[in-house]
Amino acid sequence: MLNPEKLLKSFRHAFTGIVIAFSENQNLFVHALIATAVVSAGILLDFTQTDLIIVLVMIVLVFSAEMINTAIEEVVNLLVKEHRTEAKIAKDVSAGMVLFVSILAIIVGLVIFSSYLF
Amino acid sequence: MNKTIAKVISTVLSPLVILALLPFLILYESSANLGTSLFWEAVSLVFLGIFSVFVMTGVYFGYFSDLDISKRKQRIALMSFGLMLTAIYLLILYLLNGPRILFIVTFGFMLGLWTAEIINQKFKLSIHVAAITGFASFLILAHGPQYLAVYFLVPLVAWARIKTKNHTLSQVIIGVSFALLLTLVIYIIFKM
Repeated sequence: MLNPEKLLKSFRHAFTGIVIAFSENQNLFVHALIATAVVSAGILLDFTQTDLIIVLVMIVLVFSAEMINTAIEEVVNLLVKEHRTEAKIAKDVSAGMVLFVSILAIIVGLVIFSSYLF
Repeated sequence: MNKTIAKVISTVLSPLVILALLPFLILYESSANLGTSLFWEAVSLVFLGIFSVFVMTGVYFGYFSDLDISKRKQRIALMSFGLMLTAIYLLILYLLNGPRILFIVTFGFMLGLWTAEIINQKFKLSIHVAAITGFASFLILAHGPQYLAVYFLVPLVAWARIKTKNHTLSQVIIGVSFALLLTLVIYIIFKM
């Protein structure tokens, strides 16, 4: 049976998570700036619907990766207070995930934009 | 008493309220199509609603100092979220073949947000006064001088912002100049 109170509570927690992610992670500002610039350029260059949806998916991927990275960093900071190799690996791999997704997004962006520019 | 009136004016004519009214006003004025105007007003209200909940949640959990986000350091989160929402709003406008005038307003809003943030790194300009000036100027440029009376709201908001000690006279003047210049730039770009 659907519990509206529980549902509302989970929405509240999720929204608080978004506020925290944007407050704690300044990289999201850079991503937001790039996202608006890319979307604006896409509209000005008259992208097809499919291309714009691909751009949207890439934007969502980068934002999600950045938020997962923040969550992992916070959990590691909570569990490990001293310098530990395992903690470093967890944080580095998590940061690597953001870089990997960002590079992928740049490649996809370049492929799409090049077909409109050249 | 005066301070209470100033607070009411400041809230009633805040940028968020202006943004909430803008889509319907400009669409209905330019197309006289009630259905389209109401549809895009509803879409815009959903986005503004999400943005408002973001601010209120931030204030409730202590991430933001107040609803005006007076502390400059906290504004970066607001800017990031606002820009992300604007990008999604633009995509929806484009995918649903939205009205051209809404694109112009959204681009103007985005450009304004970017440049205001750059200026705010060195100087605090009044976003409230800039928003009402931009709103009045846009209405006049898009629909003619019958909206000249809206300019009377500019000194009113300026007075309210100074009275509530949120801004100084120079910050208000910079806000007006910034909005006039921005509206003119947007107008020239889209006229070309």
